Amino acid sequence: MIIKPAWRNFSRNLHRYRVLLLALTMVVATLVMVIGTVLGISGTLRGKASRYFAGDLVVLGYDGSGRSLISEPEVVREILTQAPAAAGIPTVTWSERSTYYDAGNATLFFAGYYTRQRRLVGVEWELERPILESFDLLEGQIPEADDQEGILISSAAAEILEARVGDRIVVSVVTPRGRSNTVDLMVRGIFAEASFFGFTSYLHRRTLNRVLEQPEDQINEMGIYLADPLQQEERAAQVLSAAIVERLPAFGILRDRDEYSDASRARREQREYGVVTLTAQLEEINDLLQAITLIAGVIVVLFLGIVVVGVSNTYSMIVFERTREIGTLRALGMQRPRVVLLFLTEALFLALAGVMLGVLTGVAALEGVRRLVDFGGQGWAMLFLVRGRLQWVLPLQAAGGIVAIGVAAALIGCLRSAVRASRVRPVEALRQE
Amino acid sequence: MRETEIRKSGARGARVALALVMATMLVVTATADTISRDEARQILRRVDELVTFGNDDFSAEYTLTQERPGQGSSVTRFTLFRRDRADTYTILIMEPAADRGKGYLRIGENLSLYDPVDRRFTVTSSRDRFQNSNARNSDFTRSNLAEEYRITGHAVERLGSYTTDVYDLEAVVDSVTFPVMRIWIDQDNLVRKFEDYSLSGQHMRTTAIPTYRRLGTRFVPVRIVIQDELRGRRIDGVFRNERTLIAVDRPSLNPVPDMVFTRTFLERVSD
Repeated sequence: MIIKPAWRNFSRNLHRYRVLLLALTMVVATLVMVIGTVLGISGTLRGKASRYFAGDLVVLGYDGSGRSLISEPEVVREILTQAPAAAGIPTVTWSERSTYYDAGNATLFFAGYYTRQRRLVGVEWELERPILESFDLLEGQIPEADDQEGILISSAAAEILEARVGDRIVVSVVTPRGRSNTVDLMVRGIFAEASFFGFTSYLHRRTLNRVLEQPEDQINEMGIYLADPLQQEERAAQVLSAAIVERLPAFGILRDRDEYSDASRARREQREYGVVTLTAQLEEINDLLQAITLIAGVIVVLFLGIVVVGVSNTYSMIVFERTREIGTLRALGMQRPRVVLLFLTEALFLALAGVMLGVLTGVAALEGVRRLVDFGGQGWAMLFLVRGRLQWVLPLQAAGGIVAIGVAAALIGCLRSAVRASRVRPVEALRQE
Repeated sequence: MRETEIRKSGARGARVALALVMATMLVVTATADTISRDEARQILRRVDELVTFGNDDFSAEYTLTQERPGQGSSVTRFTLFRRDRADTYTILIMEPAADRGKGYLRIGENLSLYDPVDRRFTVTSSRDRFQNSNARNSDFTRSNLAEEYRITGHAVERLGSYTTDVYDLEAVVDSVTFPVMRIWIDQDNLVRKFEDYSLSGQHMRTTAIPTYRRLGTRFVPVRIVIQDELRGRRIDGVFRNERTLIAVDRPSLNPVPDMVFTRTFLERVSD
C-alpha cells in the first residue's frame, strides 16, 4: 500500500534526487571497480599459482632430506580422487608431478641464446589438461597425452631465446647426483607469462625424470584442483589431511611458509605425508593482497560514509521542503510509522536506482579497462595480469553484497530525516509558508 | 715405359702405405678398446702429473677475456695461488674495478666466494661458471683425471702439428663438472684439447690449450681457449660461439705463505 505513493513521490521529486542519484551511482560504480579488481587480481594470481604449485592443495612426502617424494602414489591417488568427492567437495582434476627447482642450474638453450628457469615441472599432459588449457597460449597447443618430446615455455623465455613453436631447444640441468645432463625438446606451446611464474617450463614427467636420472615413474608431489578454491580450500585441506592420517604416516596441514620449510627439513624415522595449502604457498603474495584488500576496505568505508552523509543531508532538505506535504498527510490521518516507511521506501527506490546504475557503470568501466588498457611489461604487476590485461571478477555474492551495502547506506542516511518527518505536527506544518 | 712403371709402383706403394696406416690405426684402436683399468689410470696419471705441483706452491697472474659475439668482450684479471698437495687454491680478483677484492677460497671439496661489499663468504660450487665466463671454478684446481675418469675409447688423430691420442672418458665420480669428456693428448702427455659433454652426449664446451710453459719438470698451460658450444650469436649469417681466452703470466713455483689459503687473507687483502 505504501509502495504506490512512495513511487509517486519518488518520481515526482526526481529532480530533487538527481544529484544524490548521480553520487550514489558513482559510489557504487567505484565499489564495483575496487571489489571487481581485487577479486580479479586475486583470482588471476591464484589461478597462476595453483598451476605453478601443482594444485590448490598439494600432498607432499618428506623424510628429512628436504625433497618431497611420493613413495606411495596409489594410496595418495585414491585419497585425492575419493576423499573430496565423498565430502561433497567438487574438484576439477588432480596432478602427479615431478619438479626440478634449482634456479642456478636449469637452463634453456636455443641458437646460442639461453635463459635460466626457476623451475622445471614434469606433468602428465592428459591428467592436467583442464588446467593447462587455461594457459594463455600465444602459439601452439598443449602436447598430446604421450608426447615426451614436447615442452611448454613462457613468453618471457621464448622472447629471450627467440624461439618459436616447432624449434628444438636444449634443456640443461644438474641431476641430484650432481651430474650435468641435457635433453633436446621441441617447443609445442608458448604461454603468455612474464612474471615470477614465467620462469617455468612444463615437460612430460617421464622426460624430466629421465634427464634427472630418476626412476621414470617417480612422483614428487600430487595435488588437487578445486572447483571453488576460495570457498573450499580450508575444508578440503581438512578432509585430505584426515584421509592421509588414516592411511599413511602424516604430519598434518602446512599453513605458512615457516611450517612448510620446517616440515621439509624435520628429521623423520619414515616418510611422512601432509597437505600444503595454496594460501601457505602464497604467503608473501597474500600479504600484498591483504594490503590491497585493506586499502579497498578503507575506500569502501570512506565511500559508504559519503553516501550516508550525502543521503542524510539531502533528505534533511527534502523533508524541510516537503513539510507542508507531510503535514497534509498527517492531517489526513497518516500515522507516524507510515510516514517513516514512506520516506524509507522513497529512499529504497533511490538506492535501487543508484545501485543498479552504479553496478552497470562499474562493470562497463571494468570491462572497458580490460579491453582497452594494456599494462604489458610492467614488471611485478604481471603477476596479476593476463596477457597484460587486468581481469575482473564480480561473483553474484559480491554483487549482492554491494547492492545490499548501497541500499543499507541509503536507508541509514534517510532514517534520521524520515523519523524527523514523522514528528512533524500537522498544524505547524500547514502553517509553514 | 719406365716412368709408367715407376708411377704404378708409386701408386701401389701409396696404397700399401695407406693400408698399413689404416691397419695400424685399427690395431691401435683395437688395443685401446681393451685398455685395462690400470693402464688407463697410468695414462691419465702421467697427464695429471705433468700439470700438478705436488711439493711446490703455484702462483700466477691470469687474464681472462670473455668474448660475447655481438655484445663485446670483458676482461677479468686475477691472481691464482694453488697448493695441490692440500687440494686448495685462492683466487683474488684484481679487475674489473667493480669486482676488485672478490676472492675464491677452495679447501678440499669446499669452495667459498668472498664479496668485500657485504664482507661475506658464500658457498659456491666448483661446477659454477667463473665470473660468468665459460671457465668453471673447477678449471683452476689440480688435474685429477686418473681418479675421476675412466677411459672408454681411444683413437689416434692429428691435431694441427701434433699427433695425439684421443681418449673418451667417462666420470667414475659424481663430483666432476662434466660426466663425459674427450681429450687429445700429445706425444709429451700434455692435453692439447678437450671436449666436455653432458650425460646424454650433448657437446657443452671445447677447450684448446695451444701453449704450455715449462716450470722445472712440470708444465703450466699459459694460453687457453674455451668455447661454449651452446652459447653464441648468429652474426652476418655465421654462428659465433661465446669464447673465453685465458692468458697466464708470471707463473711461479715459489713458496706461498700458509696465510694466503685462509679466509682471513681474503678479508684483509680486500680491506
